[in-house]
Formats: sequence, C-alpha cells, structure tokens
Amino acid sequence: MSLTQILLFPALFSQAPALPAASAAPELTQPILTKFIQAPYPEEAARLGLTATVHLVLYLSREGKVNRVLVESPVGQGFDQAAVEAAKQFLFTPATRGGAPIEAVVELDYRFTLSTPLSAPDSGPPTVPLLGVVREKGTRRPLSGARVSLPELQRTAETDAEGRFELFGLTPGRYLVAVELPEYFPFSSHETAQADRPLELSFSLEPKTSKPFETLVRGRRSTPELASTTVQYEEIRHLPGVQGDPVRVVSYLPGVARSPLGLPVLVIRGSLPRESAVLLDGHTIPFLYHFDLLKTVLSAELIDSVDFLPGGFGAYHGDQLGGIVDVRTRKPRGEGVHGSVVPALIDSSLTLEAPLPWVPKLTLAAGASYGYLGPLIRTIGGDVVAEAPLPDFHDFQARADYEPAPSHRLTLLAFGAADRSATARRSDQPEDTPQVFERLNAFYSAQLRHEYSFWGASDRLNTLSASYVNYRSSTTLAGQSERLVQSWLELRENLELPLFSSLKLQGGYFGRLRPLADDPQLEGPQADPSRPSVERVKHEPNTAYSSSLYAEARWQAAGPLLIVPGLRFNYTLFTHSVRPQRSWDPRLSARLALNPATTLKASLGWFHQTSLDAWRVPALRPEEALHATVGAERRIAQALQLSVELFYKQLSSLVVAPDTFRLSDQLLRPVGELFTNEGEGRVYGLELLLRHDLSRNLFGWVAYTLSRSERRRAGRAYTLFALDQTHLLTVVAAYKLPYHWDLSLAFRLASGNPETPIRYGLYDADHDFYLPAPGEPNSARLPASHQLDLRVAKTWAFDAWRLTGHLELINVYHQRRSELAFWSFDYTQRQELKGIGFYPSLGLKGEW
Amino acid sequence: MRRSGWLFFFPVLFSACLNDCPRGFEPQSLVNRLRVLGVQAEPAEILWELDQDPRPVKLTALVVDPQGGGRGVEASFRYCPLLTEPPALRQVSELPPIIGPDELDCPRDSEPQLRPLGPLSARFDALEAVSHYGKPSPLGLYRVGFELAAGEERVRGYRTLGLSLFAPPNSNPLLTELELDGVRVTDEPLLQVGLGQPHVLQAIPDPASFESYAAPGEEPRTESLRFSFHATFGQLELHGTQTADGGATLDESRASWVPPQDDPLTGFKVPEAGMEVTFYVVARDDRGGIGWISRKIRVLRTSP
Repeated sequence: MSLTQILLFPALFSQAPALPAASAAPELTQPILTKFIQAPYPEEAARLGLTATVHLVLYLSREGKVNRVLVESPVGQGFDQAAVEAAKQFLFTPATRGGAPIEAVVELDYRFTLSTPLSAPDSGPPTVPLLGVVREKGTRRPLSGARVSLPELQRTAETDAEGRFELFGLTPGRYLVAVELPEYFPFSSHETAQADRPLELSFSLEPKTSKPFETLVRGRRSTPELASTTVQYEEIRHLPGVQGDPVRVVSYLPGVARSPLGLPVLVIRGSLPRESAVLLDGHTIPFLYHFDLLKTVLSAELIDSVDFLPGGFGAYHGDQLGGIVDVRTRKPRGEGVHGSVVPALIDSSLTLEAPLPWVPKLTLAAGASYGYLGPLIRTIGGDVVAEAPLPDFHDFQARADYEPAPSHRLTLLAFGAADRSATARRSDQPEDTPQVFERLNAFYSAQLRHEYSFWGASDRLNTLSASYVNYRSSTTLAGQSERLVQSWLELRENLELPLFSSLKLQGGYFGRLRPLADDPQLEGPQADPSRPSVERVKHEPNTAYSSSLYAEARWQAAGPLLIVPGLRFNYTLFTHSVRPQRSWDPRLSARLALNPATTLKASLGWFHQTSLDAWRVPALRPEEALHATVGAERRIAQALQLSVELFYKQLSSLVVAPDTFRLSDQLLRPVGELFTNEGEGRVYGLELLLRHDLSRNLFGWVAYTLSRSERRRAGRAYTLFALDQTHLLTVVAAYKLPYHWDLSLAFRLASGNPETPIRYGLYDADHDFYLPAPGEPNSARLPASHQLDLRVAKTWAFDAWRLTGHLELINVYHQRRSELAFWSFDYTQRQELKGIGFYPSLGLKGEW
Repeated sequence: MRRSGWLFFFPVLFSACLNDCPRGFEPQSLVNRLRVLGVQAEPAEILWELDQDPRPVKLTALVVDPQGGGRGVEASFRYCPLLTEPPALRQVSELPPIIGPDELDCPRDSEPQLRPLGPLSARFDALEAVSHYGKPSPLGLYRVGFELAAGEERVRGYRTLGLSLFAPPNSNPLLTELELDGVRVTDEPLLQVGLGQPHVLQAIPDPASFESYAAPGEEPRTESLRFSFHATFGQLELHGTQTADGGATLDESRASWVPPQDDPLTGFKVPEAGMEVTFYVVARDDRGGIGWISRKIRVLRTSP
C-alpha cells in the first residue's frame, strides 16, 4: 500500500491582519495554493497503520509564501512535524485587497491516509471538491479500492480503507459520476456541483455475489507458509448442510470420518476422538459441534478462521496424537451496529456487534442459538418418531475487545453450549424400558487474552491468554445414569519474532491444570441384578499440571524451499503418588515449490499425549505417535487444483483398559492393571482433493480418503480400529445463478463402522443369561452410508441490510445411516439403530 | 441508518422415522420359541466323599417349545474343557464381556457325550470325567455343555457342577405353588382371566428351600433364592428377582403380568374362544440348586 497524504481545501480563510485603510472600498481575494508539497509519511505511523489529520494555521506573506506554520492540535506520531515541514514549502497566489497583495492567514487540514495517491488540487478559478464514501449495499460495509471517476474532467480517485474518496476542481455544473469495483455491479449517476459548498455523495454498490464478511477454512495447514488448502467464506456459504458455518466444512475435508452415533466428535485420520483436540483461540474446548455436526457451538458470524490440521502439525500444537481443529474468533467490527438473525426450521440464531459508545475503544459482539429439531419432530410425529435419536441444543457466546493503545489489545471471550438427545426405544413389552437412552453434554468457558505488538510491528506479536472450562455430561441408559463433571484451566504464552526476512521464530509455553476424579458414578437402579457388572474401584482424586515449552523456526532456506523445524517438550506433574511424565517432540516440515504450478511437501514428527489415567495407574507412560506425510499440489488449470497426500501414523504405548475379567460375587474384576500401555496402532492412507476455485460462478471439490486404521495389544494380531472407515468420498458443488440465486449440493459416502459379528448366544444355565460367542473382532461392518443434500438460496440486498432465504433438502432420498447394531437377549436377533432420514430446512437470514 | 432483520419462519412438513423405526426385541421373559430355562442337577452338587466313588448326577433340562406343536427335541450333553482357574471373561470390541475363547467353546463336538437318561436328561459321573481328562478338576468345577435342536432351531449352553464343600449338601429348591392375585393356579381346573388388567404372579417356595449351610469353621449362612419368570403370552414386568434373606422378603418372588392384547401392528389377536398361557418360574439358590414350577391359565376376551 502506498503512502500518500491528501491536502484538503482550506477550510477557512481568515481576514488578514489589520492593514492601513485604503481609500476605496476594499475587494478581498483569497489566496490559492499553487505549489503542493507531499510530506513524507512518518515511518513509525505507517508501520502501525495509523492515519491522522493535522490542523494547520499558515501565515502567508504578501508574496504568497508561508512565513509561519502553527499546529493547532498536535496529533503526535511524527505527523505534526511532517505536515509542518511540507507546509512551509507551499506557495500561494497572494491574497489581495483592492488588488493589492496583503498578508493572510489560512487554516487547513493536512490529512495522512494509507491509500493510493489522489489528484492534487487544481489551481485556477475557485472550484469545489467532490467528497464521498462508497459502501456495500446490504451491509453498509465501507469499500476500499473502488474507482470513482468524473469522465467529463477525466479525473479519477480511489476509495481509501474507510471507503472515502475526494476529487478536486469541480466548477459548478452537472457531472456524470461513475463508480466501479470488481465483483460489484458498476454504478453511475448525474450530480450537480454548486459554487458555495463541496459536493458530498454516498454510493452503495451491489455485490455480484454476497460477501458480508471473510472467514477462511484452511485445510492441512501446519504453518501459514505450508497452507495448501484455503476455503473462502464466499465459497462455502451456500453449501447445503453448512449454512455458512466454516467449522462445519471441516467435516467435508479429506481425512475426516463420519462421527459415530451422531456424537459431536471428530474422527480424524483413524484416531480416537480423544486423540484429537478442538481449540478455540488456542485453548481446548470439550466439543465443537452440536449433535451429528448439526451446528457449530459458536456463531459463524464471530469466526475469523479455521485451521484444520489432520496430522504433522507444528510445535505450537501438542499433547495430541490425532488432529487439531483450531478455530479463531474475530474482533468485533468497530463501526456501527451490525448483526444477523437466522430463523430456520430446526434452529434459530442471533448475533449482534457494536462499539460501546460510552467506553472508547471497546467493542462487543454476542450471539446465541437454539436448536429444536427434537421437540419439533416429537410434537409433529409423536410416538411414531420417538425412537429416533432427536437432539435439541443451545449455545451462547460473547466477546469484548478493548484496545487502550494501538499496540495493545485485551480480549474477553465467554461462551457455552448444551446438547441433549433422547432415544425412547418403546415396545409393547414393559421389560423394554431399559432401551431408553438419554445423553446430555454441556460446558461453559471464559478466556482472557492480551496481545502486544512490540516495536510497532504487527508480525512481532506476544500473546498471553488464559482459559477456564467447566464441562459436564450425563448418560442415562436402562435406568442407570452416569454423570461426569470436569474442569480445567489453561495458560498460553506465545511469541512470534521475525529475525530476518528469511527466518521467523515462534516459541512459547502452554500449561494446563486439570483436577482428576473417578469416572462417572452409577446412579439409579441396576437394570438386571442377575447380570454381572464390572467392578468399580475408587481412587483418591488427583490433579495434573501439564506444561509444554515449544519453539519453531520457519526458514525460507533457498527461494522455493521452506523448512520448518520445531521442538516441543512436555512435562506433566501430578499432585501426589504419581511420578512425572515427560516427553520430547521433534518435528520437521518442508515445502518445495518446483514451479508456480507444482509444490511438493513432506513432514515427519513425533507426538506425545499425556496419560491422564496415570493418576490411577502410576506406571503409565505418555502415549506416542509418529506422523509421516508426503504429498504434492498441482494447479492443473486456472481454477482447478489437485492435492494428493500419503500419510502414515504409527501409534505406540497407547493406554488400554483391561480386556480380561474374572467373575467373582457377580462382579467382573479386571485381570491385571486397570490400564496399561499395551496398545499399539497404525494408520495409513491416501487423501485426494480436487478443487475448483470460485470461478465462472462454479465452486466445489471432490475429496476422497482411502485409509486403514488398526489397533492391537502388544503381541497380538492387528484388528480393525472400531471407527475405521475405509472409503470417504465427499462431493460439494455450488453454482451461482443470476439475480443472486445459488444452487448447491453435497454428497457424502462413507464405509460403515466395523463391528464384531456374533456367531451365537451361549446360555449360562447357572446364572440365566446369554453370553455372546463373537467372531473375529471388528471383522464385519455396518452398511455403508451415503447422503445427498441439496440447497437453493436467494439473496435480496437492500441499502442497509440484506436478506437471504434458503431451502435445504437434507438426506434427499432418505437413506438412514446405520449407527449401531444391537442384539436380543439371546443373540438370535439383530437390529440396527438408524440415524435421521430426510428433512427439509427452510430459513431466512437477515444481516445488517 | 440501520434496521433489524426481517424475521420469518416457515412451517414445513417433514418426516424423520415414518415406517422403518426399529422395534424393541422380545423380552427374555416371553417364551415363544425353543428355549432352555434351566438345567437341574440331582443331586444339586457332586457328592464325593473320601474313600467312596462320587455319586452320579442326573441332569435335566427345562425345555420349552411352545410353537413346536409337539415336535421332538433332540438334546445332547457333553463334557466341557476343565477350568484351570476361575472363568476369565474377555471384552471383545463393544460387546459385553464374554468367557474367554477357550472356555466359550463348549460343548465341543470332540468331547464325548454324557450317557442319556431320557430325551432331555443325561447322567454325569465325576469319576468318568476324571478318567476322561486324566485328572480331577483343580477348581472342583465341572462344566457340562448341552445342545438342543428342534427343527431349524438350536440352543447351546452350559451348566456348572461343583463338588459339595459345605455341610449339609445342597438340595434343589422346591416351588410348591404359583399364585395369581393370591389365588392358587392349577392346571385343572384352569384359572380364567380377562384382558387388560395386570395381575400379580407369585411363586411360593417350600420354606425348606432356604437352607442353612456353613463351611468348616464358619458361621452358618442361609440361602437366598433368585426367581426367573416366564410366560408364553402377555407381558411380565420383570424377568429376574431375588429374595433378600432366605425368603424374609417374599414380595420379591412376585412379578406383575399383563394378559395378551390385540396388537394391530403385529396382527396378533386374542382368539374369540380365548387362549391358554403357560407360566414358568425358575428358582436358583446360591449353590447351584435349581427348581421350577409351571402352570397354565386361560385368557378370555371377556372377564369370566
């Protein structure tokens, strides 16, 4: 961005100092600027992105030279000095009285803005300026870079960051004013300039496509430089099943399996959900999605970017063996009141953001949503649908940003969510009451963050943040309920420091304090007292203090080669009775641009995850993983890009529960330790992404994952991982029609989850129950699932707001996914619990 | 100038689970196909006194084949592998814990059959078992596997027999009566009930079934009984119950039963002439003893 400064017309011409009276009635003429000097933009201010207006008072000689310059209200940051030095070199035509030159005093504003140069004021006969602002129709968002032209005068100007523009030298008369900006419909109108005042105009440009705010979904990113997939908000906002929610798009990316049982979890590259983490602004949250990915627990309007890291991530992230989803919230807009209302068939949401007028530099944003699919379907369908797992949920979030100085920012973020689902498997038999299944998940959290850009550079950033989370869940099955309450406190300090243009360093500390207590306690009557239950052993509560130090360098080694070495040290202490766990995670990533169209990439790294169960079994070690990836990206056409990645993940020292029990007094007592590090695993596969950028009104991608995930206990044979899905195919496409109509589809195909077949039930005549005689573990699969979603949307843009209406047809051909197989008491009959079938979603979104 | 969004909400008909919602399974208490409800050993334990041969044990299966129409049921009893340590149960995937694969493989075709004593009974001889395995059971437990077949239906299971370790030796519990709402149920004449109303079913054990026994040097203990209720039609509120202390709380030998009703979903209809319902109540004590009683009643479409 070039640096310029704009000279405004003198705001006021004062009377000249008292002079000897003339004999004739004096006729006063104004001085006219004939030589304009461009002041150098103060370097510090430019780095900080600061703009200013310096109000000057110029004392002119009879020759029109500037004798003296006063700054009426100093603004600092070097602006005053620069403006004064430039103004001293201005030349004016002399002011005259009765034709005789006189001294004069002139006041003017010297404005410093960060934009391209505008035309300097013309000399010549008195003229008026054209002042104006260009905004986006529907959102009132200022548009920068718009070209405003006066064809008759052959003059043009470009709008600055605030959407403002100025053109000089208009003599009174009628002009054609044209406004143009790529991706917006051009606009022109005839306007009349009058002699005694500036011509002030406001334009609203209608976007060719709707683009109210920016959100990025970055896939497979380990550092900004290694980013290989970036999805713009405009590309995803009309995808079915997404509703503009960038976080939900993660489930459409390669490597993400369909979640089991509609649980709000992510299964990334054949890992357990607990091996992957969901971060919000760098801190852990319990879950990111409401049931079955129905909606993100955070309003889409408040999301800035989403980083999806399926593996091989940098040293900034750790304590996970699987993948990372890192969601960043955005700063509330500082001008005006904005918001959105989204009433839809299955959920509704509301967001608002505004600066606080009575507290300068404080901006607020808040949102909430409520999902009522379950209550709605039950109201309509009654008992007929009572057996489907139907959810209801709500969430809320609020963010406040305070910037006491340009280089400091304080952020407070508070949010929470709750999910509830109930499945009532009713039958005519009273004994079937145990089939009632209810789940509740809820959490609330608060984060406080301070960001400091030191030495005035935005890329030299120090971030200190703290987070508190309280999570609770309960599960009720067969009259028994399990309740779990967890909370944790996290602290993160991160420093980004560019040393040279080719070398950037990042390092910091991450700590977590987490109280530990026994698993959920059973409450309520036991369903069948004749059946043995697993013995529960109580343990004394403990507390885990996890600390990590990490450092990473991004070295642009030789032109197209980027190397990112990193190291992370993890250390976990327990309050008592447990020895500390420590581990080292060396990591290395590289990216080589062979040519502008082809890039190779690779990563290798070690990852450790703390064994929190060590407080119960002190011998446990951290779990380990080795991630290795190699891939390539190639742009095969202007809008078409192909990405291929091979990955391998070796898992070791996995914590596993006992699989052998002995029956004693109707209690199943584990043989050996409660937990061991005997688990091992391997995951390997291929991910392919063929992507068509938003071009010629078409956008979409085909994502395919072929993978195999296996587990075993040390010394035994590998068996399929319980959540393994061999084939994952996702096709998304969106097409923009004229008049703001959008059509889109999403198709997903996924292999069914493995299951263990049962050959027969064996009747235990001693205790009157049946034991399953299983086949090979996980040697069968539930049926594959496939689902097609369609969406049509229409947007109406008004001057100050916009309205979007959509109709979504989810699961168009009613293919209900098999979620779980369950058996009759004697294992002679099998049924499958099915997911939700077809449903339409009709809704509106109002934004302003 | 900014205005709030324009709110709309369009109600739309939709379906989620109209015709393929899974229905619950039949409960264990409903007997409508080939079932084994218990295997009684007589005597209830292996009596093997020093310097004497063990007494043979007669095993008899309580087999119910309500839909069989009197077809023949073939039963075979075989030895199961000896347990060298207490049974181990293994967790396989998401299934409930199972007996370890070695122990689960029972009965094995390779093991010899027990000598049949009737269509549904066989003779177990501990001496023969020792001879077969070449050693006595280290745990004093012998498992007998059985397999029943009728038409296409098969049932597999096992029964464990233990050496008598306590004095006096265990006897099988005896159920003397079955009452419905306090009225003794007899097969002749048949008790008649109408549709709809729930009834209380109660098994009456012989008080002598609550035996006292003691290991050498220990305080005597009194047996408790667990009851399993079954019916060929209707709904039982519980399948298994248990007395607390030797019958002190006999309420737990009760179960609520609702007569069968017309069901438009399955097409089941109570015949105009009424229908017979058979109850089976099985009692198990703490030492492997087992006894049962069965009775019939008639359900009429109208109250008698």
